[in-house]
Amino acid sequence: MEGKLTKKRAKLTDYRDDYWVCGKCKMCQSINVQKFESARFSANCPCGTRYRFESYYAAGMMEIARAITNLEFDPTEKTADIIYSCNLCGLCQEMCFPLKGLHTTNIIQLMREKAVEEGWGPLPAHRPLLESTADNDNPFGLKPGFKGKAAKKLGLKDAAKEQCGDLLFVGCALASGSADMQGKLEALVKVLRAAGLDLGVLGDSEPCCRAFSLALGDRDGFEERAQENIERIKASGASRIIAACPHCLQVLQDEYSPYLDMEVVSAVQVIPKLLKSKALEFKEEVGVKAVYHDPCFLGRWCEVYEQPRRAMAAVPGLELLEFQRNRENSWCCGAGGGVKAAKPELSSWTAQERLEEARAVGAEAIVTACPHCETQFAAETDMPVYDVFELLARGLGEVK
Amino acid sequence: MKGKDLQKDLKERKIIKVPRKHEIEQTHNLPENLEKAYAELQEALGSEWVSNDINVTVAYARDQSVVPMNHPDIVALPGSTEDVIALMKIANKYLVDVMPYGSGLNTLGMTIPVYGGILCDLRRMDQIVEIDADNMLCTIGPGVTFAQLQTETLKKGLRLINPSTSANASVVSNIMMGNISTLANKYGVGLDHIIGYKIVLPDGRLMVCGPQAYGADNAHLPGPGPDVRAFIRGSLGCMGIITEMTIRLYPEPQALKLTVPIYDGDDWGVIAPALKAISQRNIVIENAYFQNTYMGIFMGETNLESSRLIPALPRHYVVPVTGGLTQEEVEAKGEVCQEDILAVAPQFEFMDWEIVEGISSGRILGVDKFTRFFRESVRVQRVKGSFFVGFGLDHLDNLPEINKAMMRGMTSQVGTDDNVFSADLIATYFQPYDMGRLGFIEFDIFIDQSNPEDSLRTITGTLAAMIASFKMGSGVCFGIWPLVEGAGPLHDLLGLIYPSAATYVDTYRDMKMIYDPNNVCNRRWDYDTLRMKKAAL
Repeated sequence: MEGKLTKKRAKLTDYRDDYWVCGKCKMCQSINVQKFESARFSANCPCGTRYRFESYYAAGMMEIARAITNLEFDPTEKTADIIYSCNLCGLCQEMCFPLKGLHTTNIIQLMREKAVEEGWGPLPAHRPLLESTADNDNPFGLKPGFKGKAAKKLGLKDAAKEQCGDLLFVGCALASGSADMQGKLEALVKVLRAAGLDLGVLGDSEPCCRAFSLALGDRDGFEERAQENIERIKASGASRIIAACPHCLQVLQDEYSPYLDMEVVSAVQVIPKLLKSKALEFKEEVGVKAVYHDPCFLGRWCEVYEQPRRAMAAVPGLELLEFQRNRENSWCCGAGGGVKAAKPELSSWTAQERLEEARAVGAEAIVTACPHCETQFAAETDMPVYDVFELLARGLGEVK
Repeated sequence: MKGKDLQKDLKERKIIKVPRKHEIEQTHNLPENLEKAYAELQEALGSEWVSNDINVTVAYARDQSVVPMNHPDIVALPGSTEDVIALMKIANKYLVDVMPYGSGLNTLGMTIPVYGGILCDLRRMDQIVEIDADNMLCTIGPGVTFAQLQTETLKKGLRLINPSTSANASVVSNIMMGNISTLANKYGVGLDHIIGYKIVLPDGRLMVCGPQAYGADNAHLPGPGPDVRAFIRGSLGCMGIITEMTIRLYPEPQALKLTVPIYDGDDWGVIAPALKAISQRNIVIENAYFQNTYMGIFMGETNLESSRLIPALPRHYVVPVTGGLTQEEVEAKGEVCQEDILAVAPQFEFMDWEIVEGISSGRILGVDKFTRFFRESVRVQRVKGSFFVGFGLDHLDNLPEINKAMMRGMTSQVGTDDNVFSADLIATYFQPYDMGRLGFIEFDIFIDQSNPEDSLRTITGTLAAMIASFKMGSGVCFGIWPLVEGAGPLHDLLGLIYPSAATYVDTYRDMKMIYDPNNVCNRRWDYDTLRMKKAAL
């Protein structure tokens, strides 16, 4: 395909040794056993824990991968239903890989690519997301121009025209134009500007990272505009990309960065250094007792765990709690992997599990660092749901 | 996306049929009966919890063992004792096999349904019903794992007997299998910890065993008798499905000490006396012997790291863990242990646990976690693939010689040149039991299932080891019996090894035939021929 990335594609059968040797040791069915705080919150896999059949856990999905590549049976609607029940949260691989060496989440993702290639996936509810991505370069059905509008309100440099030090990669979710998302975006910009960063945004030139296409197995759809996207990002001339959304961060880091020659970091990653250099200082009491939810794509996929905690630790009056399942063992919010679109009941159940855990640790609010997690929780609870930057911005108080 | 063409193409491809076995001259699991049983199960348990979809059954068709795969016809997830009763009644009504499945974590193919039928996955029954701290006992469902239960009991200052299995194994299933642990010398094996249980018998009746059978509470003795609790011993789910079990707990020591006695020589004769000396003194909580292979497993974060560490480690380890109220107390007990060992086996040296931690660059579990949980790095997580376990009981004094004979049968580790297995592929574990009167031997061979040569080598090596143990007058059994189609039930093998036990095992067989008249519960052999039926693809 013209313009596609030159990176060699992985094939499901590349992982043959993995799915053949899975011994059903069940490590993929709980968080790290040394980190259990209670039996109640020891499960790790949302779809496995909800549906309970072995097939909905990674171990069962390895067996499906083995059987369909061994041509033992034809993939069916049920096969698609199972593999698209996974949030791709990565916790099974986090448990399995260090000891057993199996790439369980990668295999599930490659099964999805196989499904799309062969026509038995994704699920019907996913089609509008892919069609919107193809037609409008965003998965949410938003008409072109929304990113420009969101950028205009930020008052930052237009990175397509002006040289800037850091390119803020906003992402489709935060730029979607809702008051809530715009508020979160403005809070983020307020904090980064207060630290004196030379920020620019691409506005309407900012491409969709196409994380959804990858998650749903549509690698052709992802690669179709990849080369063009890389050129657009490169044209900004910035030395660093600051990603506001963890899903964009993961795609930029894992898929684009070999071709970009730019550092790619998450917005929360830059804060501890700014605090250390005194470029940032939080003085205002925020009076919030919140528990921090590690987003899967920021945590397990990009290994950013401590920086948001260090950033929030500097905010006066912010009592930060931990979930029983935190950091590498964090339970998913339920929104990822296309589950929210196709399996809303499972998605909602997953979020409710997390909210129950939040109440169990005595939280009065949830704070996280992913717009998708925030939207998911906000729809499921009356408890306040904050973005990390909303609390940091509050801690700044009035900025001169 | 070029979906439609590819889908058409897919349909035109020759799909190999799922390898599903059926018995020849089928009596059970007839297709028309399976259909009816499926419909009734859906009604009884709820359609959400019953499936006959191949995408579901495939996940239960294989495990870590080398036992050939086979799909169940139906997978059912009961959520209560009532559900299990309904399931068993339906199975009897339509003559459909039932394979109980706790956590499905075993290395012997024990939950692979031999002829299909219903796989009864008990993971939904994961309630910790009660932890009675005053009486040091707990009541749990069969879906509760060791990690879950231990986490909750520790909150009340109590511990359970953790075997050297995965933390995610079902407590109930493991206890029914025996549950040998490093605590066995002092406290006995898992089977010794059963206070009572509820069991759905193969014919669908519910039986309560233990004190509650008489209406007493669980802290009472199960009197006046007879006591039929032991009839599930080694039954592998043939005698019904346990839906609730009450087991003993123990106080968690305030302080722990582990001084590791090591010996890096070839004289296996020093090991049994050392173990026995500590066992009979009865001041240690845990006591066992490990070969360096196991220590490497505990230390290495990855398989590769373990393999590198193993040759650098001393060969032999005795692991006495002392516990008490204060550090002074456990230190003093540790010193007594050292004196006891040196009195009978002066070849031993002593290494502080901190040094062991140092060898592994701090990556080994801390002593507290090692002794409390004994879990994260244990065996099933060791290898990329599987391991083959052999086990047996004998006098503690005899174990080293039995082990030597087995190793001589298959490795170069005791002076032969037949280098069939290297040091990191084979491991021995001795567990004193019953105050050192007896010993348990576990003889593990680690294999990579992705390598056919490795699997074949393991089977032949295993046979060599078994024969070697028989020649020593012992019976170390490996889980290859289910491979032998047309073979008799397990008691035939036991009768072969222990001829005087023939009447005893026949009685057990008769009990099975009485309580499971339709032979539906984990059916492995035919009542008419007393042989396993031949199966065909």
